[in-house]
Amino acid sequence: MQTLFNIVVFPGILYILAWTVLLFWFFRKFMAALHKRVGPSFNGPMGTYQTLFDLSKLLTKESITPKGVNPYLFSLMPLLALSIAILPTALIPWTPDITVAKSSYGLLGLVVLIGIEPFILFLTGFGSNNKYSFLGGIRILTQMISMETSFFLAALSPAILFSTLNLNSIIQQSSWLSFAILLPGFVLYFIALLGLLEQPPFNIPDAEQEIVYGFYTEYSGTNYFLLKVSEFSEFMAVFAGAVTLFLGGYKGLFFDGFSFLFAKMLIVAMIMMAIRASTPRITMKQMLMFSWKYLVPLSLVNIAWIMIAKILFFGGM
Amino acid sequence: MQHTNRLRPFFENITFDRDDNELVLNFGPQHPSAHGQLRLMLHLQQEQIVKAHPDIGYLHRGMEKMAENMIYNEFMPTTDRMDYIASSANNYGFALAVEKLIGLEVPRRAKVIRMMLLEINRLMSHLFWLATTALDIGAMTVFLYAFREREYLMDIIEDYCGARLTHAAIRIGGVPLDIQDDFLYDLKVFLNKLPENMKDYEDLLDTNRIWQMRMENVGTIPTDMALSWGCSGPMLRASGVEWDIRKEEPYELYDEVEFNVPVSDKGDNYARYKIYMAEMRESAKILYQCIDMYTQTEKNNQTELMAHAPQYISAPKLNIMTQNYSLMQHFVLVTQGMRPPVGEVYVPTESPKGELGYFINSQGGPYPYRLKLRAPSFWHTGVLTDLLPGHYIPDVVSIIGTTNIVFGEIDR
Repeated sequence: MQTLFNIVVFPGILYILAWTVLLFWFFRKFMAALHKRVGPSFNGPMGTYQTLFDLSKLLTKESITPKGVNPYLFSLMPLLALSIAILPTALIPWTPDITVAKSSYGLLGLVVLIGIEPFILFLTGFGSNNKYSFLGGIRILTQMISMETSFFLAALSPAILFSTLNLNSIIQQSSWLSFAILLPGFVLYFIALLGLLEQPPFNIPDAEQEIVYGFYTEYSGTNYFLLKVSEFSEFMAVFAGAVTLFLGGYKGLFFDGFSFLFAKMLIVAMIMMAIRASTPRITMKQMLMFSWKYLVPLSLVNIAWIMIAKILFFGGM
Repeated sequence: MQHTNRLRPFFENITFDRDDNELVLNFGPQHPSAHGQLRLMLHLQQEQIVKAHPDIGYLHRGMEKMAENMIYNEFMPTTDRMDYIASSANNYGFALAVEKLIGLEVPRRAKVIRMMLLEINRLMSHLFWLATTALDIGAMTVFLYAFREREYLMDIIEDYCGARLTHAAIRIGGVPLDIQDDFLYDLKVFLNKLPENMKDYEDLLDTNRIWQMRMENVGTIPTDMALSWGCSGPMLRASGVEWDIRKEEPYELYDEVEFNVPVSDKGDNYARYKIYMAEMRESAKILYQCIDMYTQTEKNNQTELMAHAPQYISAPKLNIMTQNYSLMQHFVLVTQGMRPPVGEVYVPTESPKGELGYFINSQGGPYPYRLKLRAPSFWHTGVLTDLLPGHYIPDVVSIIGTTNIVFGEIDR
């Protein structure tokens, strides 16, 4: 019964759908505020129903399969992408009590599941029989390889600091001191996260003005809906991962709970939106240069710093 | 029922027997950043461009031919549809060419109003350029900020002539209307706020590392390349040639106003961006002076708006309604059209995009025998052939953006 509740309601499918609808709306409203415009405002209070309508419209529209592709593989990819994007939610401790899959290797599972998501998206690009999708696929592969190195290294820092891969115990051991020590790691994690989620300034794989919509180009209707939901559940996994690893997860000021985790995730989302509003897009070449010239070396330096800090403040390795 | 397999394959679906590594990408004509209907055939080596071939003609409406079957005044609204971002500049170019052909002297107040319209159009066009280029490079905020100001200008124009995009606000021999009462006030409000707004854009872009990375040393056009491809306007000035037709062959009252011609010798995207920004400031400067000149005409009681030439130009409305001869003359001019003397004329003007020139050959009839438009964007599209090879796909977008091509005037 408990498992069923977890799968269907929280933190399962309904929760992810609600999160997608709400975050979509929140992104729109927040971007609108930064752009000095109104955003969705007609349907429901402050336009909250708008995304619901949009998504239900996508769900009911015809999804077109282009000529010359394997239709089963073509439609399988979005499903696969969604299921892999949902999986990390099982590992994250949402409240002190609710963790669907309690594991001593939660961090490992989280990082790996987040890390293989772009592979699926790259396959959607290669399987679309479209030159723009193909270019998008190449781009997503290149970007993933260069960004994941620093992503993994940054995610490693709390594990080294607390000598555990268990997400629950990482949260329990976290404190203001550990937050300060992990802050550089968080910044690196956040930058790599922008790259992994294809958010500006790293929205290279689906750069609309360059390669139309990248790997999304040929997808429409239900398939597109699935890809969008998987994108937003990926957001959730990555944000929740960031909050769990670096910002103390569900730990709050006066009491612990889901609301604090949620608020922290929204703050991370807001930082992401502010970066989105203020930066143009960089090119592939510049991304590679940035990643291998600055981000990866800095991540290694960060690991060294974590080790030194551990010896200094936490009494040795 | 649709037989998809019976459809003739599109170009990009044809498989070629090739033994090299090139990917042929059909960039446009339906592409988010193809600026209208540009079809760009790109030969790619991974993402690097080996060969670029701009292909035009997807928006061709045969306007030059249409002109041969229209009386001169009839053609005026059609010119709107050429460079639809700054339609008054097109109206003006045509009106000026016909006036040169006839030898008309336009009254001073009409000249001032025309200059105001031209400079407002320049501002609108440059704001639009900034917005779309920033959007092409991914800076969506600048796009929305710049459109806000452009909207204000469109409202001003709408108050004057009733249209927002296709103004048709200029007539051969002058302007049809005097400006309304609050025009100058609205304009002043806008101009006073412009430096603040431009600071917004420049704060977001000027020293933005990513913007600089995307713009500096990308799409560099050396001076000789710019000259040999017939670049004009900001494209030429960014490549180190100080050439502005408003200075070289002043038309209207441009010899009476004070303004600078921004020049840069870098020739890259960033130089072009800087020049567009500087030109917006210069336009604002000119507009301030135009406001003073207009108030001066009010003091001198120069209220004439249309040239006095009964053979070509209808009399003012009041005369048409009250005087028999004026009515007859108006009737003839509307039904048969004016008949300019035999001759041909080429008149260049400095449109927001570059040298916009109208060539008219008149055989003395009511229709032009031949009309030809020298559209700056056409030449700027040609440069892409030489400019793009060696660049990468993201640079293609930023280069197309900074060339500021508008397909309405390329294809006509």
